[in-house]
Order: sequence, then C-alpha cells, then structure tokens
Amino acid sequence: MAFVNLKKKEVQVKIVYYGPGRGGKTTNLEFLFNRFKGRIKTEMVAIKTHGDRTLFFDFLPFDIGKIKGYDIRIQLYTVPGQVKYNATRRLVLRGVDGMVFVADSMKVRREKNILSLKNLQENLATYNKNIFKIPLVLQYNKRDLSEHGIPLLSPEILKNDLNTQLKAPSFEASALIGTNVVPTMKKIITMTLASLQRELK
Amino acid sequence: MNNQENDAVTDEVEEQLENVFGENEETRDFSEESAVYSDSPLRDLKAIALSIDWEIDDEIMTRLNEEVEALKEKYCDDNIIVLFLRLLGSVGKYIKAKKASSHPDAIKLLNTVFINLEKVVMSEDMPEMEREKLLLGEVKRFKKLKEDIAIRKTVVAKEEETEVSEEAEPIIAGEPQIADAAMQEELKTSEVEVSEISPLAGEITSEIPDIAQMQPHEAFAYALDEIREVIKAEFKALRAEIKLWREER
Repeated sequence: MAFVNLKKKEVQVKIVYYGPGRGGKTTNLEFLFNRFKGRIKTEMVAIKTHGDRTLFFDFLPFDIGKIKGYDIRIQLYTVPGQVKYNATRRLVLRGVDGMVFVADSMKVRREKNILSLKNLQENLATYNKNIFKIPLVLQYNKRDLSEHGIPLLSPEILKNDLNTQLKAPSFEASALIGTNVVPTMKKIITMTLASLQRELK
Repeated sequence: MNNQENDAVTDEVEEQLENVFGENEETRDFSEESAVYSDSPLRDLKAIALSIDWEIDDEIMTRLNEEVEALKEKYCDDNIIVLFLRLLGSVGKYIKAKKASSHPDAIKLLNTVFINLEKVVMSEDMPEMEREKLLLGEVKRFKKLKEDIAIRKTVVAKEEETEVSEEAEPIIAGEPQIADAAMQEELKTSEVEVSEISPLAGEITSEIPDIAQMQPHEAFAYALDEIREVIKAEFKALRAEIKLWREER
C-alpha cells in the first residue's frame, strides 16, 4: 500500500520492474533517467557488481506534481533478475503498488520469462497480493533485435505464454533505444494511481 | 459516480505525466520491422552470444561451441576471422566450465569479441590493417583477463596455504583448472598466429607480462608484486581517508 501522508498531503507510490535477468529492467530506468534528468531533478541509484549485474536494486524517484491536491512522488525500482537473488526480489516487492513485467522477446529466453512471471506471482503471494489484482503492465522488450536477424518470439506467443489469463496492457518495446519505455511507465503510473484512488475511497 | 471520479483522476494523472514526460511519446509498431530479416552468417552466433546471461547453462554454451566450429570451417581461408572465432571458443569453454563463478569480465569479453567479429565479417571493404587492429585489441583484452584469472588463482592458493599452515595440517594441492588450462593453451596458439599476421602483435605481447610463459615461481612473484601494489594503494587511500576524517573532527 502506498505511503500517504494526510498532513503533508503527499502520496508515495512504489512501482517495481520485474523480469528475467538481462531482460532490460535497468535499461528501462536508465533510459528514463538519461532522457528526463533535466526535468525530474533526482538521481538514479544503481548498485551493480563488477560485471554490471544488478546486485540489489536500482531506484529512480521523481515527483509528478499535484493530483487532487496531493503531491505525488513516484519511486521506480528494479529487482535483480538472477534466480539466486530471490530473497532480494521478495524484499524489494514489500509495499509495492504497481508492477511492470519486462519480458525478454528472444526465442531462447521463452522459458525464463515464464519462470520469472511464476516467481513474481509466488513472491507477491507472500505479501498477500494477487497478481491478477495488482496494477500490472507487460513489456515485451528487445523487439529491435529483429532488425539484426535475432530469432524473436512473436507478440502472439508472448501473449499466449504470459498474458492470456492476466489480460494486462502490454507494449512491444526496446529499452535500449527507448521505444515504448515512456508509454509503459505512463500506463503503470496511471493504473496504479487509479487503483489507489479506488482503495482509498 | 465512482467511474466518473476515476476517469477524472486518470485524466489528471495523464495531464501531469504529459507535463513531465511529454514530447517523447514514442509508440512504435515493430510488426513490419519483424519482416526485415538479416542474412548475416553470424545470425545464430549473435543470438547465442546475446542470450548468455548470468545463469549460464551447458546447453547454450555447447551451442556456442558448435556454432563457432561451424563458422571456423566456413571461414577457414580467413585467418583473422578464424582467430576471432578461436578467441570466442576459448572464452566460451572457460565460461562453460566455471559457469556463475566465471570471472565477471569473461562475459563482457565474449560480447566485445563478438561485436568486433561482426564488424569484420559484415564490412567486406574493411582494410586489412583495421581488421588486425580490431583482432589485436581483443587479444589484448583476452590476455588481460587471463592474467586476472591467474592472479585470482594465486591469491586463492595463497589464502588456502595460509589457512592450512595456521591449522598445521598437511595440504594436498587443488586440481589444476581444466578450463583455465584450455584457455591458456588456446591463447598460446592464438599468439603464435597473431604474431605471424602482424608486427603489432609483438608490441602488445611485450607490454603485458604473460604469466602463462613464466615459470611458476616467477608467476607467483609477479602476482605477489601486483598484490603488494594493490595493498599499498589501498593503504594510501585509507590513510588519506583517516586524515580527512581527523581534519573534519
């Protein structure tokens, strides 16, 4: 549940980018930070190991101004995608309000996507959250690789694998060049704030 | 009523988001681009190289090796490409053997070797000097990695030795690392061929001491010197930190 300060009229919303390792979660945040750092005026925090792996999480906070008289502060997080860091992933999910699942479109990563989504469902359940109820956006990342002849899963296959039951909004994207990174982020923020509004009623 | 209120919030949020993140609404349809299919002979190798993540499995590394071997045959008349492929094969073997405990730079190296190999293969008009330069750059990185691995092994061995001597128990030396040996062996051959191709190769070899060519005691002494230098630098930095801290107090 988001942190709401009635006295200060401030709402903090936590959105987590989830998905398999090397799928592009950090790249999403890096693109947003690099493109808009002049406007959001905050710093991105990234904790990486020697080999550029996300060790703990990446964190990008920013304000989007007032909604219904409340100052809205958005906090974007990523989780480490490697299987062995599940405890960290679970920890980062604490208090999450909205999720972006970043799927890797490469054919060879098909199974990893499915496992990661299953893992998300299990980890959310430990906080009594339901993957079918939490605001969720799916991003089919690395679509640009088709231009390089890399075998990709078609959007239909990705939808069948990941979104048949969830029926979440989805975007074909390339976090590396920034395609559909902003729409993904806008969509999840809008959905999350609408959901909070319903919960707070 | 509720729906109307929700719509109003959504509108307000969208407006605010437009204020902060406007002008860059890049919705794009990839479906047409998907039809563009590259005829690159490295297509499969690229797919494999890009799919190696931190959970390294045998299947993908075996595929990498098979693809490298197939391409070696295809390009057997082009020494530069064959050497690039040998570098890829060596690093691949090392990663396959060490998996998640591989040196972190190994996967980075695999990627840069591939990127430069792709440049060489796809740019048919590239001058020979340029091709050699790219190859030698990768050989240099490969040697640096090999050195780092050797140093790491020496440090681990030294630590084990210290632990055992503290416990006053007899020691049995660990088994030699098969993958490391394969990597060193592969590099030896690569070096010979590279030096045949380019006079620049000699310069590179002389810049970096090659641990593989040293006697064990020399390699050990070299590694110790390196460690001594690192410790010295660390202490220097620490002293500076303490000084700053004292001044602040």
